[in-house]
Amino acid sequence: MKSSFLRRLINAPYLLWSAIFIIVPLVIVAYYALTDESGNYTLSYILNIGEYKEVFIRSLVYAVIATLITLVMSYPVAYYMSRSKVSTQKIMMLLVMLPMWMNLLIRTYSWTTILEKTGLINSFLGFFGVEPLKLIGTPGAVILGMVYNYIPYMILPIYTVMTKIDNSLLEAAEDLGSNGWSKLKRVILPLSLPGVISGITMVFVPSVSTFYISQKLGGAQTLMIGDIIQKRFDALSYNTGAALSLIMMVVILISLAIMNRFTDDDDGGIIL
Amino acid sequence: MKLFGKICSVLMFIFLYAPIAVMIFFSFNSSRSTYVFESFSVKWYGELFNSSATLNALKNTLILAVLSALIATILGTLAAVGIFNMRSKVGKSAIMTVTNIPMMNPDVVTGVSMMLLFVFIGRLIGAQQYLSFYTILIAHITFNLPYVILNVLPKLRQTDKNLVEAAQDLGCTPHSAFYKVVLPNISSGIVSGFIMAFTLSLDDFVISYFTNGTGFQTLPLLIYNQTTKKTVKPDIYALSSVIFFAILILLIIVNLIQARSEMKMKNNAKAGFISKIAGKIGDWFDNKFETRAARLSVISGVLVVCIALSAFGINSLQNKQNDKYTDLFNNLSGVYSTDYAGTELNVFNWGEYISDGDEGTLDVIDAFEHLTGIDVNYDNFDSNESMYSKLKSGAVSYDVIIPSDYMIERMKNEDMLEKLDLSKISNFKYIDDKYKNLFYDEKNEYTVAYNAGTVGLIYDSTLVDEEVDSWTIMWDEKYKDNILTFNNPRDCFAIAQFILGQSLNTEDKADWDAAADLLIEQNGILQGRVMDEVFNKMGGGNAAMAPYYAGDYYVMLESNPNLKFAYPKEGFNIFVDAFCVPTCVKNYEAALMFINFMCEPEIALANAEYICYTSPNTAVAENPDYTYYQNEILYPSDEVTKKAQYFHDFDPEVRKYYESLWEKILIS
Repeated sequence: MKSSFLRRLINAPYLLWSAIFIIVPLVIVAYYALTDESGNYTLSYILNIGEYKEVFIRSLVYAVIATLITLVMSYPVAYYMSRSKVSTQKIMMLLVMLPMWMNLLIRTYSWTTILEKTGLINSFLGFFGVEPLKLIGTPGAVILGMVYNYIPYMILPIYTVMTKIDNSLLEAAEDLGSNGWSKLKRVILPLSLPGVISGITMVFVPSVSTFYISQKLGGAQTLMIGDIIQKRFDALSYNTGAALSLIMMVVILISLAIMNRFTDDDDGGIIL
Repeated sequence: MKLFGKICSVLMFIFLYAPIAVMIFFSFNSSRSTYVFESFSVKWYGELFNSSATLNALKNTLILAVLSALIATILGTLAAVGIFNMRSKVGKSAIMTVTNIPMMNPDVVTGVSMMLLFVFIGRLIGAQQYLSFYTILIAHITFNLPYVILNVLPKLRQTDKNLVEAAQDLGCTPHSAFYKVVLPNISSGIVSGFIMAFTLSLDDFVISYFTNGTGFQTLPLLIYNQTTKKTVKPDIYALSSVIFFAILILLIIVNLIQARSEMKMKNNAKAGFISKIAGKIGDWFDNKFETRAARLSVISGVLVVCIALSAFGINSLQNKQNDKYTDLFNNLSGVYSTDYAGTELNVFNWGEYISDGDEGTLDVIDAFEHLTGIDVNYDNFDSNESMYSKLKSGAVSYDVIIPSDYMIERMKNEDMLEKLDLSKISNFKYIDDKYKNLFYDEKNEYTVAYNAGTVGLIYDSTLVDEEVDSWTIMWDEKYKDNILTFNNPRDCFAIAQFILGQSLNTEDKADWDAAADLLIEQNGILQGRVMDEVFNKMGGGNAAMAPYYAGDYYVMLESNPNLKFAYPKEGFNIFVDAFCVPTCVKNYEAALMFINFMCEPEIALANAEYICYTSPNTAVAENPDYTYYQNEILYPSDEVTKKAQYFHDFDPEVRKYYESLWEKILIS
């Protein structure tokens, strides 16, 4: 009796904390999204979202492209890592994690030095008489920034799952006549799927909602939904800002739900 | 496959480290530019120790990260144990779902929702200043919690239940069984949870952006402010490089100690010198602390102590150098009492709008603190509108603010400004009559002018080889992708309004529509909309033209001598920024003292030299030693200023109208 009471008590601080600081804030977001400035119920902010259709589509498209590029880049690296010597694995792991300790803003900002019209790439091309390319201020630059900043979140979960793939499974596949491609398709890929899914989630969510990367690397026409939300809140338009946040949250939840159909992850679901 | 993987990995690491290499390289640049490398120098590493803003931000970041990680670790560990012992499956999955929310939600939504919570509570209890250190701390703990829980839970699952039962059979109370059996088993999870929480808190920008309070700036916030402001000071690069190498060395040591056991097993005689040393240290360490848990706790304990020491070291570094202002203080004409020593003064100013001790200039805030003993919390804003929003929302409170003319008009009309007791600002006598009793403050009761300025067109003569005298050149297809414009509605509309021959203060919606159409037309040929990013862009020769404030032209000229400045014939905007005291003031007397101090001839001169704007202070403008003494661009003749127009404030309806047009321009 006593111990079960204690057991309940031990959860109390956290339950209280998550109720006040996780649940209630979301309710308040919904409240602001569904009321006007004087607190009356209205759907107009939600219904007006059509005005931002292009921005939403742009954010989703950029994030999907960035996620796919990240996946394609990460997969061979994660595979190579997981099949290396343990000491090499450790070093590579360290090298993947290290940039994450640096500030995201400063790393993104460094890209401007590389991509600007008089930046490193264009100066280099200039030696060969190539006209300066427009690199900064393009959708490509924004996507590059996303890929760059979030790629460790893709490598690490895939790598973690791949280290668990037993080498004897791969040998068995070879013994049974699998060549490189079918081994990849029929053994490695299915077994690494949970890692891929969590990698996709961890790259897609921050990409779709970013507001610094697009401001630094983007141009006049690469505004993302995160930028608009930031601007709305800076301008004290809490209601529009909350409506946009709410809709973004719903869009992300739907995307995640669709993605999670492909995996049967248990409640542990965290990588690292 | 192997080779392919290897090539991919090498390319990946080049990709990952290219910008970091660039950053480290430019931290050794002798000039301010982050684009053009001049020559090798370590001066930014020296500057680092002189820049109170950077050191303060570092200190704040460390304090916040340690505190939030510690609290989240304690709370999260308790929660994990609680969740693990829960019998109801439904309850368990419900609580796990809630735990996952801050991880799955985008940072923007988490930040915004926390901010709205604080707004809501603030309004409920009628608090004036509801964002503070505590709100940012709460926010950080909240997003750290899930990571701690999810690191501890798996360890709990791995703990053999029979062990706990055995311990109880052998006479342990449930309590001591927990301490003796469970805790050692999960301690590695607790430590890694703590480290993760610490890291996340250290690097968080988005959530901090929405929840930080007056005077509490973290490093990411400082970097955000700097990268959206005039120039990134390379001392931030220097600091990041230092952090980079510190972490690199730390990780290498940890890895070497871990690798040692393998080395020992193989008994490899060829082990390198460093590995041997690491091995020795590791052996000693192992003997001293027997369990893995104890080792991990010792390592993280040492880390925490190091961090606390460095925060303390920063503090003492800031407090020394007391006598460096003796010369300056002897010259000061006003009498500054130390009656308010120990009180706090919150100042809200534009970014890079005060001489800050950078590169041998006078650190005005620091001098004021030394003179009066008052603690100044100095924050930046990047537009009148964002400053207004922050104050209007009641989220923060300030004692001195520096808005522009039209914003002063609005704030005065909304009773947001306090009258100034000019008898206590004796240096008001230095202010030029031209800048007194202006439209925003006809009886001059609320303001003391700080800077004046004009907007003109800055262009790069290597990219534009014609005479520039009209705004219409910004619509010329010839300069496609080479044109920059303002990233704020009023300045941007103003250009179109001048071309269309409208008044800047028109209330006619048709006028605004016409201007908006003209601006939408321009979208296709713009390189970008910028505010202070323009310094790097124009300074580095990355764009042909940009409209900007006249004074800033001289700052850009330092990095790009090909720049020219023109006052277009259609007209241009003129503005005044002035000191005001908002009604939320908490330290009125100190605020007046600060304003008076800022008008001291020496201080005003230091600021005028640093900012390069037009100084309304006659002691500066009439000083022949002043760099811009009788300068034609900063102090244009009456003939030129005839075409200048001030911005006036609008009623909310017009404001809303042009803001909705602005949004349309942005997203079309």
